[in-house]
This record gives sequence, C-alpha cells and structure tokens, in this order.
Amino acid sequence: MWTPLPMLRVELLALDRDFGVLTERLGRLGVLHLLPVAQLGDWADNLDWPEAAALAADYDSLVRRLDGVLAGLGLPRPEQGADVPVTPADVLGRASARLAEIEPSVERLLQRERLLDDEQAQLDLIAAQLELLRPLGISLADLGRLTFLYMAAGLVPQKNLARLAESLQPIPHALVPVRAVDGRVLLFAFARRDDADVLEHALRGAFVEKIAVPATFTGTPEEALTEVAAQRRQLAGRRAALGAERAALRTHYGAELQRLWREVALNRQAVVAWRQAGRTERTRLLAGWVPRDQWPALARDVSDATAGRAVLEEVAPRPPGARGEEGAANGQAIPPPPTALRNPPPFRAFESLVRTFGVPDYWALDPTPLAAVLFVLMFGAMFGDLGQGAVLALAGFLIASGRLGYGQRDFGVILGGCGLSAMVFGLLYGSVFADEHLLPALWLRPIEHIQFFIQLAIGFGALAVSLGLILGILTAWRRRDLSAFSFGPNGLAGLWLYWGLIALLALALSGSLNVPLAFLLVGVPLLLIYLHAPLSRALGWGEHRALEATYYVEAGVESFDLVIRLISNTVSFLRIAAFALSHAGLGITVVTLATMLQGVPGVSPLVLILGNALIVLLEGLIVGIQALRLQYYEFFTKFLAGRGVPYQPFTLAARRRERG
Amino acid sequence: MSVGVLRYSRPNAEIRGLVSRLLSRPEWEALAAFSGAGRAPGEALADALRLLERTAYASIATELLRAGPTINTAERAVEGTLVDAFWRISGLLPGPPGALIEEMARRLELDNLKVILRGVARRQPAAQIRPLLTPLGRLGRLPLEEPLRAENVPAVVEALSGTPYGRVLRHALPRFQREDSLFALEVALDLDYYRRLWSVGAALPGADRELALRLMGVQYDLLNVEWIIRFRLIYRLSPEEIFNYTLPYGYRLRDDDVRRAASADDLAALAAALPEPYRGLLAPVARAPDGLDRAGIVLHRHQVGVARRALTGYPFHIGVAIAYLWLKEAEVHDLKALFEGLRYGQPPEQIVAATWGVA
Repeated sequence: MWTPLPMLRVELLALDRDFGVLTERLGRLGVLHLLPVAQLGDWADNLDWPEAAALAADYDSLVRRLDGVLAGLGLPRPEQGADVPVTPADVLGRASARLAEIEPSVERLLQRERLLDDEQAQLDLIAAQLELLRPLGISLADLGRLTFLYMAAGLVPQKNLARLAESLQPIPHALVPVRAVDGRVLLFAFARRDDADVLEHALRGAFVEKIAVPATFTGTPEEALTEVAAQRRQLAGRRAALGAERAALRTHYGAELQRLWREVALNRQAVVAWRQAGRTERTRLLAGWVPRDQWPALARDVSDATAGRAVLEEVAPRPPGARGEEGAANGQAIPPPPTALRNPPPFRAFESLVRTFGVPDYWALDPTPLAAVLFVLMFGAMFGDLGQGAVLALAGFLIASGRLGYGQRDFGVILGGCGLSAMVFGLLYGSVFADEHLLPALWLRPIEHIQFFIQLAIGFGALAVSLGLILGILTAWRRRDLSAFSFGPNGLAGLWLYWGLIALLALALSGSLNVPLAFLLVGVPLLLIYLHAPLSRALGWGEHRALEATYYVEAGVESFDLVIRLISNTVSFLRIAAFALSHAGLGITVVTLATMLQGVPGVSPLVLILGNALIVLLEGLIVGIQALRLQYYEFFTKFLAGRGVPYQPFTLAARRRERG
Repeated sequence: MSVGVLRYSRPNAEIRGLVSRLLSRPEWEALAAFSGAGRAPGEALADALRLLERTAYASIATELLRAGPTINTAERAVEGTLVDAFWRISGLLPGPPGALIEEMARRLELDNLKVILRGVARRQPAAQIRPLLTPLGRLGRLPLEEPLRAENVPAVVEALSGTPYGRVLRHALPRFQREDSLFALEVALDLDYYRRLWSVGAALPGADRELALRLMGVQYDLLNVEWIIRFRLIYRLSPEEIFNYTLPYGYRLRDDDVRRAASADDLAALAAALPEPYRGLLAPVARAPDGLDRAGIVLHRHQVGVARRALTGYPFHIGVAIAYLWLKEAEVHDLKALFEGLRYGQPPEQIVAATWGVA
C-alpha cells in the first residue's frame, strides 16, 4: 500500500520465427510494460529494427483505408479483442488485397453521393437567391428582356449603399433597395444599357454580391421556387436509391470488413509493440518491466510459447543513488520502472487525486492512504454539518454506484467520503442543515471558540507539514539519495529546521530563548542546508558539479526562501479555521433569514432549502478546492515530484486488466 | 477650457516628454551615415543599433545586439515601441479620448491581419508568417493562432467570424473567390476600419471632437489621394469603382474632387484635379520619373508637418496625443526604411529621401 508495485526489468531474446507467437502471448498476458531497447544502453545502439517502423506505417495506412470504407458504408468500428494469431506480414498482405477488391465499389458509391451533394448545394443556392426575390411578383424572364435598361440585382453591405449612390451621380440610374438581409440590402440597380459598364464597376466597388438566377428558370420567383422544389424531390429519390445500394453493400461486405478490421487492429497493436524491440539477423530482443509477482507467469508463458527456445533475464531495479547498473553514478541510467499504485478499495479512488498532481515515481512513497485521510479530514472540518454532509454522502453513493452520472466512480467515492466526514464533524459541531440549535455539540462550535480553532488549525498544519517532511526523508532513503536525505530542504536537516522553528517560537513565547539554543535549533540546520552541495561533494554523495561563486549567493537566497516557505506552509492551514467559520456564518445567515420570514407562509422553508442547497453547492466546491490546494501545495511538495511513468502494460485485449 | 486643462494637463506633460525623446535630425544623419556600399548589412545594422543605444531606443537596441540582430527582428522591435506608445497614451486618457487612441492602434492589428491573409494566400506556413507580425502585446485582442494555421483564405475568414472583421470579410469573400485576388478583402478591411475610426472620433465631446475630426480629416484626405493615385494610375480601375473605394470623410477633399481625380490619366492631371494644399504638394513630383513613388512620401511628410504644427499653440486637447502618435509612427517607418537601406547598402541621401519625418 505505501509503495508502488515492485517491478523487475526483463530482457527477452527470442528467435525470429517464434516472435509472432510470443508477441501474442505477451499481449494476452498483459503484464509487460515495454521499454524501448535503445534505452538499455550503448550496446543496444545497433539493434534497431527499421522494418518494424515501416510495417507500422503500412498498418496505419491500412487502418485509415479500412476506416474510410467502414465510414463510407455507415458501419461502426468494431470493438477490438479478436482472437486471431499475430502474423502481421500475412494479415497485412491479405487485408490489403481484399480491401483493394472492395474499395472500388464503395468509392464509386461515395463519388455519386458527392455529385448528388454538389447538385443539392447548387439547388440550395438558387433557392436562397429566389427566396430573396420571392416578394417580387415579377417575371424573371421579363427582367432579362429589358430593351433600354440594364439591370443588376444583388446584395450590398448596408454601409456601402450611400457611397454607391454617390458614385453613380454622373449617370442616370435608379437604385431600388428591397429589403435588409443580414447586414446587407437586396438591391436592384438600373441604368441605361450604354452605361452598363459604369454601373457594373460601381457595383463592384461597393462589394455588391450579384444574384444570378439561371436562365432555365422563368416565370415569377414563386413559380421558379416550385420548379426548384420539384428538382429537390427528384434528388431525394436518387439519394434514396443510393441509400439502398449502400445497404446492399453493407449486407454483402459488412461482416467481412469488421472481421478484417479486428484482425488488422490486433496485428497493428503488435507491430506498434515491435517498434520498441531490437533485432539481429535471426533473433528479436524485447525489454520491459513486469510486476515481480507476475514474473513466474511471464516466464512460464514465454517458455511455453517458444518451446523453451527463448532466453529470459530478469534484473531487479536499483535506486538511483546506489552505485551499479541502474545508478545515476554510472552516467546514462536506464529509465526508472513504471509506477503501479496498489491500494485497497477504500483508498483506491483517491489515487486519482494523487495522479492529478503527478504520478509518483517508482522510488517515491505512495501517499494515497495519507492523502485520503487528510483530504476527508480537512473537508469535514471545513464543512461540518450533519444534514449537508448526508446530502453529499448520498450524492457520492449514487454517483459511485452508477445511478447518477456515468463512469465517475472514483469521484463518487471521494464525494461520499467527504460527506461522511462532514457528517461526523457536523455531530461534533452540533450543526444540522445550517441550524446549530437542533443538536448539542459533541465537541465544540467553531464560532464560539474562534481562537482555539485557529490554534488547532495551525497545529494541524504543523503536523501535516512534519508528516510531509518525514515522507520526504523516507523517499530520499528509498532512492538512496544520501545528500537529499541528510542535507536537503526536505531531508533530515529540513525537518530539524522546521521543528527547530516551532521550538524557537515556543521558547520565545515562554521567554526562555537564548542565542546558543536558537543557533542549535535553527542556525545549525540552516547552515547544513546552505552548505548542502559542498558538503555532499566532500562526502562523495551524489554528483555535484564544480561549485561557482554564484552558488553561495543562490543558496543563501534559497535558504531564506525555505524558512519563509515553511512558515507560510504552516500558516496556510489557517484556512481550515477560516472556512469552518465562514461555513458556520453562512449557516447562521440562512437560519436567521428563515426565522425572519416565518410570518410569510411557505417562504421560510423555501429559504432554508435554497440556502442549504447554495451552501452545499457553492461552499462544498470551495472547500473541496481549498482542501486540494492544501494537500498539493503544502503537503505533496515536501516529498512528491510527480515525474513517474504510469504502468501501462502491452496488451492485445480490448481493455487492460485492472490490478486487483 | 478648464475641462481641457483638467483632463489634459498630465497627459500633455507626459506626451511632451515623449516628444522630446523622438530622434533628432543629427541622430538621423548619424544613423544614415552607417550605410555605404561594400559593408555587410549585419555590420551596418549593428553599428546603427550601437548608436541607437544612446537614444530612447537603448533597451531594445541592447537586447537586439545581445541576441544577434537581423533586419526582421530589428523592424519588429521598433514596431514594438510604437505599440508601447499607443498603450501608454491610451492609458493616460480615460473615456472617449482613450477609446479613440485605442481605435487608432487597431490599425496595427489590421496590418497584421493583412500580413496573415497574404501569407496564407501564398501558402506560407505559420512559422514563416509569424515573424512578420507586429508584436501587439497587451493591445492585441484578436486571436491570431487559428487564422495563422488556416489552410486557405476562406478558412481565415471563417476563423475570424466572431470578430469585428468577420462580417466585412465575409461580404468581400465572394469577390476574392471570383478574382483570386486579395485586393477586395484588403480594401474592404480598410474602408470598414477607417469608417469605424471616424465614428469614434465623432463621438468625442466638445472641442476634442472638432479638433480630432480636423486632424483625422487631413489624414483621410491624404489616404484618399494616395489610394486614388494607386487605384487609378497603377491598377487602372474605373472612376466609379475608385469612388466606392474612397472614404466619405475628409477635411478639404470633396466628392467632386475625388471624381475628377479618379478620372485623371496621369499624375499631373490628377494633382491638378485636387484642391490645395494637395495640388501644390504633388505638382513638383508629378512629372518626375519616380513621381508615383515620391507622391506617397510627400503626402506623408505633409502629415508629419501637420502633426508638428498641432503640437504648437494651446496644448490641452486630444490633438497633442494624435500628433505625437503620428510622429512616432513616422519615426518607426523611417527606422524601418533605414534598416532596409542598410540591407541594400543604399547611400545616406537615398535613405533620407525615403523617410517621412527626417527631411
């Protein structure tokens, strides 16, 4: 629970002829998190496998074509998980050949559909233009047969109308605006035939979009629209015929295409995995990480799949600070193992909270259980109310069980936990649905013990920060990073400094402080932190580059910043008290309002209900954000870098197996 | 008068301070002297920047020299100072006067939009277009990433559909698609922008309105003249079309003047069709072989002269801000002309001849 799943690094050498079967078995087993062979070290530099990349590219192209054909026939992409052997080259050849036979029929269908769409668009455009002219009961043919006048119709931007009129002043003309359409004006412009050019130029300058109705349409716009409607019906008929043709193709090829797709998708996944592998003339090399408890099953499956012809090696990872193969002291280190968190069901939902900050790296401690407890504790303390907490708990239960919303199980569990915590604190505070007069307080009411509550909040903060520093020390120890363990701001020196500051404050308040004691409590750890790098170099702990003069200036600023940060991190927990008090204050406001309106029938209960709803929604959200902020910034930053790689094993199944 | 004093006393003082930091003529002459045949453009540019380190451009010059200057980065950097000037002046003037300054600054955004349209029309990738854009910083309100990544001009128009430019571009798009020329789009943008600017100026209260419209009227006259010259003598458009491409506002130029000028066949006839002072400005260059090039320069120099005169006399009005920004814009233009001159190894006289504010 407190550490990620232990991993082993695996290097697997198999014969070329066994690699397909082996890939399939590994994919079905779904426990191996692949590691690119190139990252194993310099010795693996010449083992790249360019054919795998080419094969992957061919598969990408094939999948695109298949997707196109499926989409063209209106068929859905099937779920993956076909039970087919992994034979990428064979499947690629077979699927490509078959697709080449099917594609032309589908392409012809789509081509005819596109032509239909173009005709439809053309008709729509004509119809739109005729709609503009509909109010005019004039014959389009007559308009086209004017003897002495030249006419143009179009849409002109409203702003350009005045300037257009001015530009035509030198010639006899008439501009007839008909109606406004989307910031433009439908305009009929008339001039003498001899002045047609002048009119056209002016219209061009005014950005008039001409309306051009094809000469095939005669009669009034109304009559022309009737013709258009008839043509549209014809198009609809042709479209229906194409639809029937598509259905026939779907019936004929549908099942086969979907089967093909599943085969191709599965083999493509295998080929993508092969891109991580290396090769020699006759063998293939695969590397990765496997959970230690899965190693026997993996070894068994590999031996079984290859009839004992494969060579399998396992290496336990070493902490980055340790000397040896994995150690950073050796220069280029192999990437650290991936992280698989392993928490029991009550805490598992809170892994999402941790992952949102960042995936813990393999050597870090898993803070999930602590994060779960702290988060719900803080939430409950800030939102203590029996009734409102029950609402949250109920909502959480409904969401977690899928009765409300979908696929938000983790969120439901967290919400439910917060709700239960709020209920407990509601009992302690004696508050139910914002009313503090219905229940006795089993502990205290925050609003009546403000100072004490503030002190408690700061005390809790000191505890949380101390816990974070302790986790930081333990993490440094796991990583064998003696430098950070001893002299780091989140190491022993940092914890000494923090507790020293607390002790210093206590002594100062009690009047027992003296300089030597202050130096011991605060000065010594601060000095150790300040001289972190030179001390580590002197002791031969870790890699520290040669120190420049600027180091001492920077270290001084950082040490000062650390002191400020530790103090501010602690004081930040004051917000627990602040939000608990504001929650109580909001409750008092709601109840007071409801009491004042008791004389008005029906209003008082409404105020109570709406007020409580507002508190649950608004304050619930705010308190959740604050608890998260405290957790992330004041707590996690003491020990969690969040740069881990999540465990994502290679699988050929439709869904990855969840770790039980 | 008292309102003007209250409103403009502090801005006037600050603007006067900014005016004093504009480059002086000796500084210009010293800058131009760095050109010369036979010098590598980079070398000449670096020398010019070292001189600029002793002026109000010290910080950007130092930064450019540290990063290794190119003509492009130098031009963007000086454009940035113009953006800063707009920002600073608009911050000094609350209410409608500040709104006018902000609207004046929109022209830089408009220029960026034209650069994007041209780049996309030439199928240039976003990485090639982006360095050509004026860095608008806090003044930039147009989301440019989507238009920059558009595959074609209609996609740019689509990307701008929610912006003040969307509708005008949409209305001009059919012409672009018919003619495959950005002309329609750019003219539509210009006309729409300057109409909007005029309406913002017309919304100023009291004496500011009169003064702003008088100054803007001069600017619009010069724009109209410049456009008529270009559309008539270079593009050979018809008078009716040109008329629609001019602004219906101005100071001295009337619609009849526009019509007559738009019907001219050469620069001399065009100049003769204009009222004074524009006739007098263009007449000396009308018959020169490079008359068309020099026509634009003389018009802009006239605008600079108007700006300098606006800085004399009673100081507590919007005209001081407008005038300073015109002078600043002229200076930025001239610095860019200098950088281009250094690129091509032009002699100092040729560089100065292309400037607006130096001569």
